[in-house]
Amino acid sequence: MTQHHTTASTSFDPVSGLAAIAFPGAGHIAAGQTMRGLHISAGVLGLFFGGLLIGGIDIVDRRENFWWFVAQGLTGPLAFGIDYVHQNHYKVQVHPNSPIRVTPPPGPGQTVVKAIGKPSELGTLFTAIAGMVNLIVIIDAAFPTRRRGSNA
Amino acid sequence: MNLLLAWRPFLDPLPNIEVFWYAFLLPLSFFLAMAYKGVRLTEFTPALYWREVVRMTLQVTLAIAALGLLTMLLVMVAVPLLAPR
Repeated sequence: MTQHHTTASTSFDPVSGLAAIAFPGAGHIAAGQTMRGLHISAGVLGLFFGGLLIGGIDIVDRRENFWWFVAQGLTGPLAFGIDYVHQNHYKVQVHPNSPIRVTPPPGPGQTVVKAIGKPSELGTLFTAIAGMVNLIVIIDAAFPTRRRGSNA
Repeated sequence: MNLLLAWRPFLDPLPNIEVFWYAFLLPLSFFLAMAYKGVRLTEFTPALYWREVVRMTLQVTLAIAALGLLTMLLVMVAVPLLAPR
C-alpha cells in the first residue's frame, strides 16, 4: 500500500500568500525561506522581463490581447503596472472624442514599435509562462505543505 | 545594424530575431526551471538546486527539440508519402 506523506503544516498562511501575490518570490521570503524566495523571484522575473526585452511593451496589453493578459496578470501588480503605462503613455487615441487607444502606426508621432511575428509570439509566451509559474509560487507560499520526498 | 541602433530595450521588439528565434528556447527553459525547482525542491541547498535547474533545462530543451524534429519529419517525409500523387 502506498503511503502518502501528508503534512502537519497543511495550513493556510495568508501573509505569505498576499506577499507572493504582491511580488514574485516575496511570499517565500516572508515565510523565512529567503534563498528559495530570491531564486524563485529571479526565475519568474527573468521570464517576465525576458519577454518584455524580446517583444517590447506592446506584448502586455489588457485591451488588445485580453486572454494572454489573463495569464500575464498572474505575475501580479507588476504586469498591471506595465499595462497601465502601456495603455496611458504609449498608445494614442483613435479620435479625440473616442476612448479607444491604439499603438500608433509607423511615422511621425510613433511612440513604440508594434510587435509582430516572432518577437510578438516569443515575448507573449515568455510573459504568459511567467504568470502561470507565479500561480504555482503563490499557491506554494499560501499553502505551505510538506513537499514530496523526491526532488524530481 | 541601423535597426539595432534605434532599438529601445523593453519598449520596442527585438529586431532581426527571425533567423535565431529558436535559440530563445534555452533561456525560456532555464528561467522556467529556476522558478519551478525553487518551489519543488524539498531541501534547498545551492549545489542541489543548480544541479536540478541544469537537469530540467536540458530535459525541456531536448524534449522540445525532439518534438520539433518529429513534427518536421511528419510534415516533410510522412505527409508527402501519404498524399496522393
